Amino acid sequence: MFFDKKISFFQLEANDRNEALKELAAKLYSSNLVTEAFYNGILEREEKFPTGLSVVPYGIAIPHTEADKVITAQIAFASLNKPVKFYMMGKENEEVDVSLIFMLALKKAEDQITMLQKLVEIFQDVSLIREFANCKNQKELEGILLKVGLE
Amino acid sequence: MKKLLIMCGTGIATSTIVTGKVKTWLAENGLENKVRIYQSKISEELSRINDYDIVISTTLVPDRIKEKVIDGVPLLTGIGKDAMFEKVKQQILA
Repeated sequence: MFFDKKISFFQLEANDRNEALKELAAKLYSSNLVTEAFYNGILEREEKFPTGLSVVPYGIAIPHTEADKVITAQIAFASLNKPVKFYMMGKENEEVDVSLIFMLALKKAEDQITMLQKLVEIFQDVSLIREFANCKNQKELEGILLKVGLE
Repeated sequence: MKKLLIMCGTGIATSTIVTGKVKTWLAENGLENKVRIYQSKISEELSRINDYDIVISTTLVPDRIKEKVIDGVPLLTGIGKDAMFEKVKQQILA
């Protein structure tokens, strides 16, 4: 249910972090899943509380913002054709090359704990990360999501 | 019973993940009766951080409280997870 609106990009072309974030946020907005304030909320949050994670073999970012900018809970996915720099979560001014973005449009914490736990399992699994990075279309993505119980 | 705070920037995303992981770990180690967990966002907690015995955060915290706070990011990446849990355990049993 967190991926059912099919907000996905494969081998997205982006020159920097903000370009990539803009593409994902714009698609969430045009699909009526988030409010107009969502994109700025994402940028502000990323500035204050960066979300880059240094995982193997590709860096991952999980940008997100406050629940009041979300209409329907959803996750937007993007693989990038070349990595963009994100600052690392919990670190001071350390950057990480990010190739996969999971943009979280989240509502209440209680409803999404199972999904978030499964998402994190992916981050800790080298071969799954590779599958997400290599998948070429919506159908392949859905195959992987089904396998990890995240459809 | 010790008070354990788990915080992040929004109080809904990464702190939820960390809370789930910590609960599972507490149960596996028979420590679930030794702590009460609080989940929140950093902006609401900075002024009362000393009310808690143990603090885990996924976001950077101001220098003045750095000593007190355990980095929770290892629970998201898996890297350095055991060392992080060891720190939590020491503080629970301290």
